[in-house]
Amino acid sequence: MAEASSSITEKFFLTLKSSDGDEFVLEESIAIQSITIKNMVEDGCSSSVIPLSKVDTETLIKVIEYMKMHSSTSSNEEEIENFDKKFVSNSINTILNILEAANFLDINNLLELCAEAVANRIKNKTPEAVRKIFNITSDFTPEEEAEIRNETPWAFEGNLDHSLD
Amino acid sequence: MDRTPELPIEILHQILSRLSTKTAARTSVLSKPWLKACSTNPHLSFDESYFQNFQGKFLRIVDNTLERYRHENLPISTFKLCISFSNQTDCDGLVDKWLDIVVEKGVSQVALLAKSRSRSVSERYTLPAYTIFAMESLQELELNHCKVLKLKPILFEDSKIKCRNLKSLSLHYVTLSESTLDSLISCCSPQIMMISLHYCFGFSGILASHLPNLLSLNILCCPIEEVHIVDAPKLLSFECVNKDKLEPAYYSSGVDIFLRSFNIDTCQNLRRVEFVKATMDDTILFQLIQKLPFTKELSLSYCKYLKIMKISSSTLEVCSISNCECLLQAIFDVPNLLSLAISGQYRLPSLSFECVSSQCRIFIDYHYLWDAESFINLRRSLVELNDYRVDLTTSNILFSSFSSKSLRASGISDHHPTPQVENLTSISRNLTVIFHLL
Repeated sequence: MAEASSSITEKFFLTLKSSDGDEFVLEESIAIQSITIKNMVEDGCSSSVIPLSKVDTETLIKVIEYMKMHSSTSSNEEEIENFDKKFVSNSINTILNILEAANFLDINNLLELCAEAVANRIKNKTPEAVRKIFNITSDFTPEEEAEIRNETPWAFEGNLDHSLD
Repeated sequence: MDRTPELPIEILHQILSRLSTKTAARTSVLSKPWLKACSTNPHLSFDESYFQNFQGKFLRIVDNTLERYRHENLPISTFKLCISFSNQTDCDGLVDKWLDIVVEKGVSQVALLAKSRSRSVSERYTLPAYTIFAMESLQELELNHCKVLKLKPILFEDSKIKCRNLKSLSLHYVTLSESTLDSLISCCSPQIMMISLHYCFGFSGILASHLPNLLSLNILCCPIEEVHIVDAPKLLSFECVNKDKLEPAYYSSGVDIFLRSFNIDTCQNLRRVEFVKATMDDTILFQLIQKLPFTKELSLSYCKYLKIMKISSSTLEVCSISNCECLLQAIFDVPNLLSLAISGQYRLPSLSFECVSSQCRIFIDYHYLWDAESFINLRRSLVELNDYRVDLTTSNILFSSFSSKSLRASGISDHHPTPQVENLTSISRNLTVIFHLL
């Protein structure tokens, strides 16, 4: 579906362009699950290509996949549920990219799904493990970190999970 | 490919709102952006149970945080507070103050769990009705273990209740007066989708009309006498339960509702109605079902005033009866019935069908086979149902001395009609019993 020509863009189709320059033609009724796109359509910006400078090709493919599944009237609840389950098993980097895209495109269901998936992955984990999972480098001095820990000692009690999965 | 870890703060807030208070607090040491996200998180949740015996510290933290949000003009969208009250500590004033801040902030979701250490209702936290009910932006309200009081009844007018955007209302262990409940429900009636009242006292009935968005109404263990829900076209599920499901069956909770009057009108989508331990008799039930012309699923359990009941409905598809101990006879005029389940009945009621679909399946779950008489009764009941598709689940673990000899002696012999059961599940160790049964 990549590199589709924009000449077939009719009244009911939109062309979305990723930050990598790839174009995707999508039915308007599917695309307007994104409130950002919906607003653009309502403002009359849909005749030309819609540039999504914050969404790369890989992420946009996933987002379109999600929107197609969640808009088609033919997919039943069970199918959607299975799709969502599989969808959140993507790597944490992918999920975070999709989360950012969902936030930018304002697709509430997708945002909720990904935020929940991220939350589930860091549940009960030690801060060290969470840093590794998210690829976060601490910008605190050891003294600063000790001070923050001291403010909520109860949060660091109990058995915490060191694993990275 | 490594992504830049810098997520926008609103995304960090989204993630934080889905974490437990404890995990969320831990993320503050991850990095400066996370610390910033934690200290500006619009979803506030405070739980005293993490502080065990340091209530003073807990109160200070909540107070400082809320003061800071007020001072720095930070938004709050969710406020959850779990706190205990006792004679020794006087935190009523503090909680009142916090709620005032929350009201100022236009929160959309409030959950307040105010446990009382003394179990006595009189020592419950008293929530001044005008604070919470004045929140126009409120969409979800959950109160647990509180007394809702109109402090100055003269000054408190219905116009002070402004939460007309409320979508979900859960009151558990809450004492409130009938007029407060009435004005609350009537104020939020245009938007409300879910009402759940568990163990609430102070009112004897629920009277509401014009609830265009109400989907479910759930009443558990509230001593009410009247239910009038009129014009709730989307209502899908109504549950009036007077017994805690966790409670063992033989244990009586002592609370019985005496439904003097019951009225659900113009609820064209009401699909499922459940009564547990409702004290209505055969006549009230019959009349009630006639008022529910769209219901597909009816469940009756522990309704001990039902003796000879008749159900007449053109839409009902699924019916279940359990533990209605006095029920002798059930008459069905239900042309579309697809499934009838009988369980927990010490005595199987005799079932008669004036009109029933040939598709109908009857599920009998019977575990009181402990003497020859009960055996004969079961067999007789099954023979009566030979025209229908019957599934039987039974056990007779208590009756191990059940022998074929005693059965023969009790008059069962081959010239009696044989019951026909499609599926049989038996937890019985005594297979001869089943052999004789069929």
